Amino acid sequence: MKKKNLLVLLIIPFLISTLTIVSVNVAYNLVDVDISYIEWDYEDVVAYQVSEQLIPLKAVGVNQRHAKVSQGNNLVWKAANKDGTTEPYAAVIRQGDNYFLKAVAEGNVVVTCSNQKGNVSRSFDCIVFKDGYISVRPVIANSRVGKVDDTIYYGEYDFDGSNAKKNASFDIVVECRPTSVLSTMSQELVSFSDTLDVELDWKGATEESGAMRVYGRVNIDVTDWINQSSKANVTVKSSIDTYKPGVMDFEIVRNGYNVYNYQQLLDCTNRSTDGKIAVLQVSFDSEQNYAYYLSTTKHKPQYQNVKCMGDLNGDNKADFALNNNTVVPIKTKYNHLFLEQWNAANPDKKVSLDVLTGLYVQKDFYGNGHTINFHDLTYPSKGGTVLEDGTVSLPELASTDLFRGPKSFYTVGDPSGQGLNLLTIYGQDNSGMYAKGNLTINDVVLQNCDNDGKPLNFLETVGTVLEVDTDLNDDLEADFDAQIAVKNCRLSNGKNIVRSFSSNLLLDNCMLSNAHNFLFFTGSNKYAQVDGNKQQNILSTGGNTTTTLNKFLDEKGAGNRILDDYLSAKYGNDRAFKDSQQMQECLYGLGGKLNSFSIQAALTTNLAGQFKGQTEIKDCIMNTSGIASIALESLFNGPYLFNNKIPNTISKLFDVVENMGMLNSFDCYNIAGTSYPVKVTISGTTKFYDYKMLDAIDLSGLVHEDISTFLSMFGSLTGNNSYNVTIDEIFPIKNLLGRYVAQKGYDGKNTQYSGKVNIPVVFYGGGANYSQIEIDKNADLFNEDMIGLREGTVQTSQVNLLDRYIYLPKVSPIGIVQNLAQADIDKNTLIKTVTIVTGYEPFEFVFVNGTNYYDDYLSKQETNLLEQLKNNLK
Amino acid sequence: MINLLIKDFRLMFGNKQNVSQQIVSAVFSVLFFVAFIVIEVFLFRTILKTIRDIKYASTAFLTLFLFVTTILITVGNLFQAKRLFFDAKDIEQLSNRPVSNTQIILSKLLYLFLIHYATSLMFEYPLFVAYGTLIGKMPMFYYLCLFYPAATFFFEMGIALLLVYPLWLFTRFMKRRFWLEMTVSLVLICSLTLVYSYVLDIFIKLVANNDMLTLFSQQSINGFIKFQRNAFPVNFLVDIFFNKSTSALFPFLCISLGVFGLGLSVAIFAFGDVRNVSASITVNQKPRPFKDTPIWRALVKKEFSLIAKNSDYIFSYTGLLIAQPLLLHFVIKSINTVLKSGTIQYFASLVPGLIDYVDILMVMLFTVIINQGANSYITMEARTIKNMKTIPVPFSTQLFIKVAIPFVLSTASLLVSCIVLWLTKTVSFKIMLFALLISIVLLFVFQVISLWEELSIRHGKPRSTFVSTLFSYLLPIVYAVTAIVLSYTGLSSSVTILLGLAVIIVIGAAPVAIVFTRANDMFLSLEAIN
Repeated sequence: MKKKNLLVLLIIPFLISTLTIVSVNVAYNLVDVDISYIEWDYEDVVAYQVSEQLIPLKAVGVNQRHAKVSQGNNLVWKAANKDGTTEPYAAVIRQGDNYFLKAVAEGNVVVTCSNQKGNVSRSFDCIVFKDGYISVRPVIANSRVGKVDDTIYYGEYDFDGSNAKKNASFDIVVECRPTSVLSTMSQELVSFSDTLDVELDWKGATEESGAMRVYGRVNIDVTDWINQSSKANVTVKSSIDTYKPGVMDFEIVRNGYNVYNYQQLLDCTNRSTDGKIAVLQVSFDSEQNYAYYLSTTKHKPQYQNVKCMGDLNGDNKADFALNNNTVVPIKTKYNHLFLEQWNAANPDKKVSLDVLTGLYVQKDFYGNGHTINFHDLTYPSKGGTVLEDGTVSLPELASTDLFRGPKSFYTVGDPSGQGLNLLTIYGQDNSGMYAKGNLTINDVVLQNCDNDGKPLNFLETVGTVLEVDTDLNDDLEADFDAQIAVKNCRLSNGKNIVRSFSSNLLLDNCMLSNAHNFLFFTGSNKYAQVDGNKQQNILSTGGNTTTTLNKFLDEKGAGNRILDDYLSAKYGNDRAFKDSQQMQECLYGLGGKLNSFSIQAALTTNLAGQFKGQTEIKDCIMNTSGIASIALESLFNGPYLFNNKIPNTISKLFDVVENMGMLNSFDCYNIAGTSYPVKVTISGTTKFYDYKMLDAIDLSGLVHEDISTFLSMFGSLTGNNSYNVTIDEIFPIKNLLGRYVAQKGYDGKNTQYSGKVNIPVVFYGGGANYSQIEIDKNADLFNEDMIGLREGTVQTSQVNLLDRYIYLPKVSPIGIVQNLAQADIDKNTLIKTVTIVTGYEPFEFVFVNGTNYYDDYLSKQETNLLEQLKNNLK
Repeated sequence: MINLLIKDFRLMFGNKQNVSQQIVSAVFSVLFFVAFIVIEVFLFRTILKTIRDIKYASTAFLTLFLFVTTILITVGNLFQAKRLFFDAKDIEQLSNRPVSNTQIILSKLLYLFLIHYATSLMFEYPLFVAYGTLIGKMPMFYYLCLFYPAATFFFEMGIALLLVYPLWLFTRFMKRRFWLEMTVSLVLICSLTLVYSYVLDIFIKLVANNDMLTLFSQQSINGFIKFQRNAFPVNFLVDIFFNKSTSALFPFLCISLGVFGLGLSVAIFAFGDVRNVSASITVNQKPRPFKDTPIWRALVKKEFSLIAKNSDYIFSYTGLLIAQPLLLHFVIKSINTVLKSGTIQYFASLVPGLIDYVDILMVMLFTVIINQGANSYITMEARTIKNMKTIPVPFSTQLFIKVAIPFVLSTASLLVSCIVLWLTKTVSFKIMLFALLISIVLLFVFQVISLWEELSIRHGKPRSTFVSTLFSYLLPIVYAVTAIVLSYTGLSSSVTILLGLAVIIVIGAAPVAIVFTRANDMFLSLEAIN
């Protein structure tokens, strides 16, 4: 009996952990690891003869660092005709877990292999022939991961040895099978566009893998330009008609420069004052991936299609520094009033106003399906190493790392990184590629770091993958004559994937994936600053009063007392307000509805309809974000950002902490305001593959907070462990979202996404957000079954943080601080400080109806690359 | 034969507990069993779901789980067999009956088979069901698995029977050497505590820290797959039952039956040997010179030797007192980790001080439950109650010393435990002090109630432990609930804890008052046994 009691006692910790973890269901979804790439032995172009025989398709999904990947990573194969016809030239047949290709009829197909989720894929071109075939293709192969745009592009020029321009030329190979076909071909049977000159070395023909190959060279010389690009082709025929001629079609880009190495890439971008049109003929991968490529490639050095991103001196090592154009500093256009005030007051601890970018693009950029991987520039250089047991340590910033996370818009504490900061609200981030101008980016694969299936929070400091800027005259508004079109691209692995502020953007047929925060992040750099001298009617302690914000939010003003009482949850006859409801009316309003006499209303300028940027998202694929696919940002605009000398509770606390040498309490004034809105239009067949467990939503990328560190310091002083808090307590969004999901059945019940939610859009709260989402009337995406529509726009679910904060009870005071500061401070006081910084406007979320969305839409999915290929043929 | 079997069941399961004790005992048994199965299946399913895509990993992990179960069941079998074959009273009874050795051995083997089958089925079949449902097995699989426990009997019982005689000889040898027994027991308890902490640590890492992926690297999984090849007999059985391999059947049968044959021979020999010699242990004690000692000192010495020199107490009390600081540290650390992990941390933070209250609750529960091992103040006297009643020492002195010894020992262990918790930063200084204070008060109330139950024993009936057991669980839980509710209303944690303490004092005051006023009468009414 007694021993049984003890056994029950010993089993309690097992039971508690099992029950709690099962009940909150957080297990393992936080680390949803996918394969990194697909490994196979296929050449870039493969030929199969029409036959009844089944050809086995073999590939392996490789994960660079983790041993185990999550569900949905089994490989699946698909084939599609290159000319878009539906009668298949080759069919993929599945038998159990094995896939086979059956060559059915003559023609060209793209064979694609991807994981079930579709976020990692690779393809090769396949020629299906009956009696024999002739093919013509460049010797330097196109992208390893497959092209989305079927057209091959060549620039008009190459760089010569001294980086001057010369007419472009490139090597081709003519291949025929069976070998006997060669004897039926000759120079006379070769035809080509008059913008070209083609020489083939018929005598040097070689046999490789059962096929005959003839190498040659194409010289480009366009003298009569009509359009921006010129179509060209090379055709090689046989004297026997049954052998289909080999044709290579391509487009020559006027003023375009072919890029074969990193120096040339810099010449087109960072080193060029006005920019040059770049046409990639090789990929630029991370140092590690490049080393792997070198160890496995069969191509001669001059025909290799992968280079090291950042390799300046040909030593196969990535070099990045601020002084040699490998990184470009750009002055932030986002609100940086706080940093300016800080720098003026702290000349010895100045914070740079520059954000960094790896590639500064000002003219069109043609990717030809090639990859640019900014890993060695953006990813923390410490940590992240593979341990003996096959696991990976957390990434860690080294002192020399250039990418260190976003600029601060406002910091409670020290923004220079030399002291404690309680809370940092982020401004603009660094980027892999920064595009400014009126230009097109086509068919490029951009990623800020290696695709090794890392958890999304590893992307905290890697920056934005692509930042676009059409504010050409730097007046913080989009220049409406300019547009950046990003077409047929695959962009992945960033804190945010695409950021467009005060810009006009077209995202067409792109796949955006793996963002710590958002896949598309938009807003305006322009804002209306708070007018502190304007006479306003504000609800105060004794009823409505007419005053200015300068007076009301002054140390002697009523606002100081009101905010003090809000922070310390004190209500009653001798307090600012009798109850929390009146307090809520004064701060913002009840039930998520703005009271026009509230402090928040006084801080807000109505800017509805005054759009300063717009984006069309057409036929895109949104795949895996930490929070939501699309975010429409607005400035945080709390009373504390108007005057951070109030409320007394916080200023006294900072005085104490400053005296202890822990934090620099810096007085700033009127640094926020109301953001001008932007408009986002969704059109075509844009799809959201962004299901996640509610608990897996990671809000830590929204703001940096050290409140938990701060509290735990006092916790350790006083021995009170309850001072440990997390971002989810500071920003209890998940909990509030959970209610909507449960009430409205937004999760993907009865589908493979059971228990998960899909959030396509979030509108920032805090300050007023007048931005809009518009659905194109022909869009094949939203209907009321899938996403609630409200008068042509989407239905949002409001998350009003004030509803939660206002009822935070008073808890054990932080005795030591309370005594030193002579103020009433508890844990919840500090948590509530977040709202007086951010403002009280609710966040708004758009959900999809999980089950219907899946049944009606996603269940019919192809692999993503194939979806893009289909869209490209539209 | 049937009579013999019934006698064996009585020997192993028959007890002198009253109905309430049996109910409480049964409840705890069911609780323990259900909790164990829930955890076992949860862990098994979680791992299997993560690694099932890796070739051979599913069967490797099933083999691992079954192998661990095999070890536990073999150890269980060993102790069952020891009690069944070498119970002195049983041997004495059988020696006067006209029953042959063969019949006795057969009945005992039948008993062992039935118990082995039932136990194995209870612990192993849930694993098969979990495996089958995850992998998608046909109904035939579940039917076949019913025979798995029977197939394991020969090997597992063979090993147990091989070891049963050496174990009996070893325990017999130790009974005569107090310090050796004490040392071995302590080493055993400490080792088990460390094993427990190791297992708990892995479990917490698995479920609370989302470390599933990092724990199971390709390398470690390969290690488990390699281990599978050597995990006899489970690897053979998995081959036979899951892969339907007939080639494994013959070697498995040969090895299992061989081991069983050997074990059975040893058991038969040992049983015959023990039957033929006196089972009683005679200890040649040297006569000790008479020493004039003060009464209180003599009583303290007697009580101390009753607690410390009884091998049952070494395992259920003395050893646990020494292991308590370690056990408490591991358990509280794990619970704190869980409450500070993932989303649960958010919910935990809604009740300020929740983690502190739970920590104090665990300290209280461990203190009283370990103290249960030494609260048979009168029962442990057995036939010497008449001495208590006749010696010229006031009953209050005798009872005081009886209660004081375990109280002092438990308090000392509690003090060390609290200091360890504080030094390892598992709890804060303030919580350490509160935990110490509340647990001492609870311990006092609990011991007084236990004394009351002891003094209430009448007509040779077993003591009712219902009230003391209720108090040992209910009072700490009442305290924790009170503290949580008060804390949610916004009271500071110190006030909350002190109010929780007040609740314990108020509830415990009544039984304490009763004992203090009626102890004299109750002591006089105690019945002496001749």
